[in-house]
Amino acid sequence: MIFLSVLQKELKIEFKSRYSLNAALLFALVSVSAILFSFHENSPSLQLMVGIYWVLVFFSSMASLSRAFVYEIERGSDYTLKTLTSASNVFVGKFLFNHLLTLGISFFIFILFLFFFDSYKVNNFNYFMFEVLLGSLGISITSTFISSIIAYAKNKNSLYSILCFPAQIPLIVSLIKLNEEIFSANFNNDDIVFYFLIIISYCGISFIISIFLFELIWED
Amino acid sequence: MKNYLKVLLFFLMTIVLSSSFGFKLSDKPSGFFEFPNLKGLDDSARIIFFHVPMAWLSVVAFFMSLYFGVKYLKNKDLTYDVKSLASLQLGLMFCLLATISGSIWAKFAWGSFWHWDPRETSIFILLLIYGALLVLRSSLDDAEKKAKLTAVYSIFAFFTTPFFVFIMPRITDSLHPGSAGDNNLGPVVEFKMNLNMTIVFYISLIAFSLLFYWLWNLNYRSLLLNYKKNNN
Repeated sequence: MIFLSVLQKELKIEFKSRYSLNAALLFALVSVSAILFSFHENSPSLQLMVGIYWVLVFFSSMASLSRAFVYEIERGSDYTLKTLTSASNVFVGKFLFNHLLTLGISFFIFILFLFFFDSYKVNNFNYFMFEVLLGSLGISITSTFISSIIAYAKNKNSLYSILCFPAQIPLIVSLIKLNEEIFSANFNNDDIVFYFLIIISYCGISFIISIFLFELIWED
Repeated sequence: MKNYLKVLLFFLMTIVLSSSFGFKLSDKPSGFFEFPNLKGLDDSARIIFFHVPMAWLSVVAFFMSLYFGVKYLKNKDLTYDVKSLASLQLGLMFCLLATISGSIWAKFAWGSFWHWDPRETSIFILLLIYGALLVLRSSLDDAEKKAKLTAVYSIFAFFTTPFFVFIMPRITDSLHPGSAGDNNLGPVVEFKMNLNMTIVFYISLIAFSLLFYWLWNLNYRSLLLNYKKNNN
């Protein structure tokens, strides 16, 4: 249960500075207002809104999740962590923190959408919440892992989204397809199960692979 | 590469080039020197002798770079990293060639250069992964970190994207010849190609693989020399 203390540490640091959350929420707000300006009075179709929703969640989380390992390396506190606990504990703790952050971002954007866009009509709220939960799980696993890779590189921020995007395309595309299916009035149950299974298997595969590979990155 | 392999490559390439452009198309092929006229593809069907080997080699190069990356992680020997880089660079080149040739073909067969067909999506993802790997390499200074992180990222990308790169194009409907929903042509490679077309196709695969091996070998040796020069 040491990963819970890592999570606690992350939460404490976040409450002190509130950097990650503020950056992500402001990013989301700015993007939503940019979309509002570009649409003027035209109300976009629901299908378009669903796609924009997940793209926004992806990029807003990109704006803040990279900090997970970058600031440890910048301050040199990674050595302390290495002496205190094992690699998998660090990874799980950090990833849980990122998961909470991504969930917060997704809910925030969801509320913004409900507030600003009349065409954004939510059907099957429970399914949608389950999808948001799984989607932010997948996004946070991959981005926590990629953040540990880019922590050692130069020009980190631009590199981060370049590396994250190819690894997350299957997830993002399935999330968008699933969401379209959930919001449509007469959906097909089999399709929903199919996409949920793809997303769950993505989360499982990326979690296992990350745990294994993270030890290699973290060891020296 | 051994000299006899070079001679063999020359002969095979000559056969591929001359037959793929020289053989006539006819509706009822008679004799060895005529290709069947595939409905809807016509002359553009000749691209199969170049486009498919390129796409195949880009995937092979990706696997090679993955393999050498894993080898590096096991042995911590930097020559494996140089091998991995050599295949990465060539893979990107072949991937670009396959994409460009495919999209020119698509302009004539489907009417637009880019269509977001499942096959196009999958090769696009492959291009993105190659690009990301090379950008990652160029933004790291330490040679060992470079080798380790590239290997780790290519393993990660290999396990998270196979849905789309290798499985989805084959189970979803697509306009690309050889996909699941292709009713008028069916899987081209297995059924609709004549014996002579199949033979030329496999010769072309072998020739391109030889060419790839030669290029890879040269690239690897020059990268190794470069690496040794910088470290002494």
